[in-house]
This record gives sequence, C-alpha cells and structure tokens, in this order.
Amino acid sequence: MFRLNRSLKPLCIAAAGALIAAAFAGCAQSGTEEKPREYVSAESPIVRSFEPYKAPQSLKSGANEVTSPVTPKHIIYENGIVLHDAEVDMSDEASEASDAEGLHFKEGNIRYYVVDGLKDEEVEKKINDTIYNTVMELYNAKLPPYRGIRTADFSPYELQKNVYIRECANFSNVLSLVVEASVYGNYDEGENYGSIDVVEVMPLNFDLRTGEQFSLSDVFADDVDYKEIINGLIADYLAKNNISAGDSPSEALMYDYGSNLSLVTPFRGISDDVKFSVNEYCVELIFDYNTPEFDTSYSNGMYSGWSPAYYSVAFNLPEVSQAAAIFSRFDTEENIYENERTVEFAVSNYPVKTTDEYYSPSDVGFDDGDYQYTNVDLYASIPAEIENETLSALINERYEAAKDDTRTLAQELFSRYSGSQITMDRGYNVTRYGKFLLENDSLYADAYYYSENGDGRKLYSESYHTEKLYSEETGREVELSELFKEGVDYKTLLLEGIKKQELEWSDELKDDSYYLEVIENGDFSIYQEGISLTYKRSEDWEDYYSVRFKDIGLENLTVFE
Amino acid sequence: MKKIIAAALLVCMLAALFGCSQTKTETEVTYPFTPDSYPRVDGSTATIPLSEQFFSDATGVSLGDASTYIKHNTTHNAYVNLINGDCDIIFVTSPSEEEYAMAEEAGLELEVHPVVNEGFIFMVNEKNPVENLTREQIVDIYTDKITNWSEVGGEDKEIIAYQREVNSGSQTGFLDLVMDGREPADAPTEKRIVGMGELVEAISGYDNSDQALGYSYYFYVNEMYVREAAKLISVDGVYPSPETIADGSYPYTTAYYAVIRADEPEDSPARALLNWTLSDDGQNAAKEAGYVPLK
Repeated sequence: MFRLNRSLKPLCIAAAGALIAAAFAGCAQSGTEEKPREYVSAESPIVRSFEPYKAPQSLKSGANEVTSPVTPKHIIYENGIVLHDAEVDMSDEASEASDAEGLHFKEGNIRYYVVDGLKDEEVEKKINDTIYNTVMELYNAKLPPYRGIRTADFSPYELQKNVYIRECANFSNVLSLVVEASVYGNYDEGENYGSIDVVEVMPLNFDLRTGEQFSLSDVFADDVDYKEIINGLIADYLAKNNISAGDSPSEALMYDYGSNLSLVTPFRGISDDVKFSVNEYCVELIFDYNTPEFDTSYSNGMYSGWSPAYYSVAFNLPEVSQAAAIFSRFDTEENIYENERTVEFAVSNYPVKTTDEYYSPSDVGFDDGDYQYTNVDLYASIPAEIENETLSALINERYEAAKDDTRTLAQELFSRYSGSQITMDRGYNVTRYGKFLLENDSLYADAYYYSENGDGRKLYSESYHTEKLYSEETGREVELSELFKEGVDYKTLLLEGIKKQELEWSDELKDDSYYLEVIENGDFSIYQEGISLTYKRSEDWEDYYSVRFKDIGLENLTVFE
Repeated sequence: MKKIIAAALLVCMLAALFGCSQTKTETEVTYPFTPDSYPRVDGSTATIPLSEQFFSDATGVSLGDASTYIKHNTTHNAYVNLINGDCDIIFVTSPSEEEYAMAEEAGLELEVHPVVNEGFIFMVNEKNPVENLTREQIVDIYTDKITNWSEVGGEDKEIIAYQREVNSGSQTGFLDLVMDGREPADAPTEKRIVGMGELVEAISGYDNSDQALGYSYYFYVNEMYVREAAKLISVDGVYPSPETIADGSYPYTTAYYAVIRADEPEDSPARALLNWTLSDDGQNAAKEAGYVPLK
C-alpha cells in the first residue's frame, strides 16, 4: 500500500502487491461477503440482456441506381398516404407488469399510426403489422440495457410506460417513423423526491413500394463511402464542440445538429448497425446503448435517466449534398397511392445556429418571488452559413439584436410590473428555401395583474409578427413578382389560386378587384407547399390565402430553378 | 534486507497464484465474482471501459451486459462516494490534495494502487519528417527556446506548439510529466486547444498542420477516428507503445488507479477485486479494453 504523491514507495513493493493480488484473485470467490444491494440485482427480470440492434439489409438491388454527384432537389412529393392515429388501452397489462416485476406501474399509453392509402394492400398490411408489432414489442420489453441502469433503484417510483410514434419523413415513397418508449417515474416523500426517465427509440424506415425497411447505406449514393462521410462529420463535430473521450460536452453547442454527445471512449467510427431516421433535412443518427462510446445517461440532482443522443447529418452540407440519394432512391414515375401526391418545397435549413433562452427575474437582477408568474423566452434560429456577405451580416446582426432586445424588454417588464404575471414569447427565425431566406420575426408580450378572486387586469400588451423574403443571390428583399419567371402573368395565376381556395372554404366569391388588392398590396410569404398572402382588411381583421405550387405550376416559378 | 523480504514474498505469492489458478479449464470456467458479489464500483469517465471489462471478465457476464452494471460518476464524485461509503472501490486518476484532505477529515486513509499504465505522447502531422524529440527539446519548444522545426531535424518551418486549456487532464499531465515545474510559454489563443479531438484535428487537418506539435494521452489518440493520420513521435529515441509504456522505457508514463478505503477487511469484496485487477486475468482484461497493462 502507498499514498500517491505523498510517500511513493519503491516499485518492487507495487510489483509484490500485484502478485499478492494475483494470489487473492484466484481464491477470491470463497472469501467474499455479500453486501446489501441498493440497486437492481443480477437476477432481476427488469433489465433485458444486451442485444445489439441489427440494421436491415440494403434495398439497393431493387431500387433506383443513384450515383454521385447527385443533383440536389428543391421539390419533393409528399406521399399520398394518410397516417391515422391509433391507441391501445393497456391498463390490464400495466397491472400484470406490477405483479410480475415487483415494480409499481400505473396505466400507460400506447399510440401509433395506421398507414392508409397505398394501392398495394399487401404492402400496406405488411407495414402496419411491422409498426404494430414494434410498438407492442417495445411496450412489453424490459428496460433497455443502458450503461449503469442496474445501479438505479427503481423501487420508490410509481412508473408509467408509454409508447408513442412520430413521423420523420413522408415523401418520395419513403416513410420514416420513430417509435419511442419511455418509462417515467417520480416520487415525493417530503425531503426525499426525485424522478427517473428511461427512453428507448426504434426507427422504422420503409420503402413504401415494397414495405421493406431500408438501410443507412441506401440513403447515400451507390458510389460513395457513406461511413467515411459521416465519420468525418462526427469527428469534426466532436472536435469543434470540444468533446473528447472523458470530457463533458460543451454547454453551449453552436450548431443544432448534435445533441448531448458525451464520449466515454475515443470515437472510432459508426457501425453498419447504427440506428437512424431520415427527414427532409437530414439523416438523424441515434446513439444509445448500442453505441457505448457515447455516454447517454444523465443525472441532475434528483432527476436522472437515460435517453438517446442524436446527431444529424444535414443533406445540404458540402460533404453530403451530392451524395444524398434518399430523394431519388425509391421514387417512381407511377403513383403508388390511391390519392394524388402533393408537391412540397424541400427545405434545406441545416446547419442552424440557435438560441433558446428563458429569463427568470433573477437572471436579470430581480427577485423571482416578486411576481405572480413569469414566462419569458426567446427562440432564435438562423442558418449557420449564409453565402451572401451583406445578407449574412444583416441577419447575424438582427439575430444578436433579438437576443439583446429580449433581455432589455424582460428587464423593463420585470422592473415596471413587479407583483404581476408577465409573459413574453420572442422569436427570430430564418429558414432557407432554396436560394431564398425567409425571415420570421415575432413578439407577444403582456403583463397582467390577477386579484385574489381571479380577476385579471391587463397592464401591458405588445405584439408583432413580420415576415420578409430575401434572395441569397442578391442579398436584398424579394418582391412577389420575383418568385415567378419573366413573362408569366403571376397576378392571374394567384387570382385563380385564391379563388379556388375561397371556394373550398365558402360558397361565395368576392369581387376580383378585392383579390387583386390582396395580391398587389398584401404581404406575401412562402411555405413548403406554396405561396401565402395576407391582407389587413380592417384594424382587427386580416385575410389569409395560400396558393399551392402545384396550382401555380412549377414551370412558372423561379423558386424551383 | 527489504529486497530479500520482497523476493521471498514474491515466491510465496507465485506459489499461491499457481495453486489457485486451476479453476479455469476448457470445460469448466469459474469466475471470482458473481454480479451480486461484485463490489460497488465508481470512477472516472476515462476508466469506464476498463471497469466494464473488469466486470465482464471477473463475472463471466458479456461485455454488453456488463456495461449495465457499471456507472461512473466522474473522478471527484467517485472519491466522494468512496469516502462516504457509497461505493467500495473506484477506478480513477490520481487523488488531488483536496480529496486526500476529505478522506483525512472523514477519518479514513485511502489505499491507492496503479492498475493500468498510461503514456503521455507527442504527435505531429504525418507529412512532418521529424520522428523523434528529446525531453530537453520538448521543453525548449514549449519555452520558446526552439521555434523552428529545422532546429530539431525538420524543415525550415515555424513550430506551432499547441497546448490544452488550463484545467484539462492533458494540460495537468503536460505540466506534471513534461514541464516538471518549468513554466511553459504562454500560448496565444490560436495555439490553446480546448478539446482533445480539436487537437488531433489541428495536427491532421488544417492547412498549416504540418508545422503543428501536440500532445495527449496514448489511450485516446491511439484509437481515435481522424480524417488523416496524426503521427506519434519517439521521445529520447523511444516510441510510445504498450510495451515501452509498460516497461517504463518510454519517458512519460503515468497510470490510472484503483482506490479503496484502507480499512477494508482482507476478505472484503473490494480488496478481492483490487487484487484480481492486479492479477494476470485482471491485467489481460485491461489490455482487452485498450489500456496499457502494468506488465
């Protein structure tokens, strides 16, 4: 025995110690005394054995050949299917779980989708069976084998197991879903309280032509090394965000395409079997107990749990944009749906720089106890890189100003309306649609005083919402006419589109002159499926119209060039 | 006299070791612990893979399942948990003065044993022709006495000597093992790298990376994914490898440690595990996990 840095003893003693150790080790079993365990025992049935996730086989052989460089697509087709919400009542099963495992489960929820609208009913059934079976499998599964999960004591908690499903991609004959199962519990016994949360996700990535699930390699062109691309991006991300083995992640991640990545061992690269989902922006990699180099447990005071960490491989990154095959891999000329497909704009907004901040009175020099209620927050998001320098400077300046303004206004409201209820929701978001950047700036702020009998008195109110569309080519704000090709009678096209929408909503049309007034003097914006127009008819009334790209005709628009 | 006692002890222990080592055969494999008899462990993040491999090899539980039993709460928290009796053995970096003081205040003595070796390595870009630096040259570089690669056998290019941020483990290792009390030149911001990944990137990726010199721990760099190769260099003519780090011929070596409370009974699970980690089986487990065993 020795004490490091204080009384170092000769190495030979350490060597002797090692040999003594060896001697003990061989005989250790007989002399050990069991201590009372504080956590789940080895015999407990509640944590399942480690079964690495196995990725589906590649579907390349039965799908479109896609080679790099892939031309990025500005439009995609939303699939002509409907996802019906469905729910299972599992109250009986919850009781059985309590009996079998000695834990306190209360009734949970199971929500999933039923896919409807494929012409091929067998394929539709195959997909629906897979979804249902996955959902039920996750509900009935034991706790996922996260690192260290057996060292948690679940017994004080009243647990609830829920399974949900979310849609990630529903375009170009691709349906990407994520089934999310969580076991959540809390207890509150005076000074002893806490909560625990264990989350497991299972992606389902369907080729809607066949109902088969595709692999990560299918998302990328046939002739690229997708793992090398992804590994390089992750290595860069870890480097830029100062995450290396043994380090905690930086508190302020500047980019929104990685979350909670904390390394335990050096990152050696992804395997073929990494879980993933896709959406129109990116491939989202899911790191959990299958990727032990990432530590995905967390503990914050009495709150602890395990949940996956995510890393997004954005399709518009230079390394990826000409290698992404997902928009073409399973696409068909033929419509495989009973309904028509919808044209959508492929938003390419990643990577983004984001700020999501909540201000309490004490954050800006006031006493939290002096207010009835406060909820003051700012969410700002802009593209991390904007090619046009003038526009980049303008948007970054406004992004910073939004942060400063929010703090200043929060201070002012906390100062002026002590004793009241203050809410403020500030947003500044810039979204990229091809070569256009849509700036969305909004504020909703108010202060109320509520008397003891619940009567509210408004002390302050302010709100605005503006949208501006900029061209990344010219750096200046875009006019409505610039969304259309030269020579196109855009007013007539929009007029017809507005009238079509009006008839969908009501039986009566207004005079054409009114709609032309909307077109000529209203505000316009774009969204994924079309162009929107708003017109302030009076002080307290605003008309809103949306005209879909497919009704205008893609060939008439510059946005798809 | 002490040497004689140590030698005698060694012989006795070897005999004991062989006497007890027949439990593993091809047909029947027994393990010194079961998951339930395994002591409560904690430790540094850097030793999680080591701890998981120990658990797996000592219990026969698969490595994947072993991870479900192991939760390390970072170095300082592990010391706190050990001192408070919330765990029985910890695998950590060396204790700080503060942690020694905490133990003393609690009336405890800590028993600290090296359990695996670690090397402190220097690296350059693979395009850099320099293969070796002496300890003296390294100190001269980091004190701005040597500023050009031509002074150490390389090309006529300025040396960009990166340092880590002040409180990082690597910087502590650099100051303790390499500078040994000498003050390094103050690195400008662009030469002060925050993350270890960033350091590797600086050396292997950027335009001027062939001028770069950086440092890290062997365990991290040897297995890290990098776009291009960073090249480890010899120090005083000795290349860092598991062998040269283990036998001490490589000049910059340190260790990760197993720490228990000194009052643990001789037959306690903690002491039994400590002893097992230092045995051949334990050291093989360490090697399997990618660490440099003691021998």
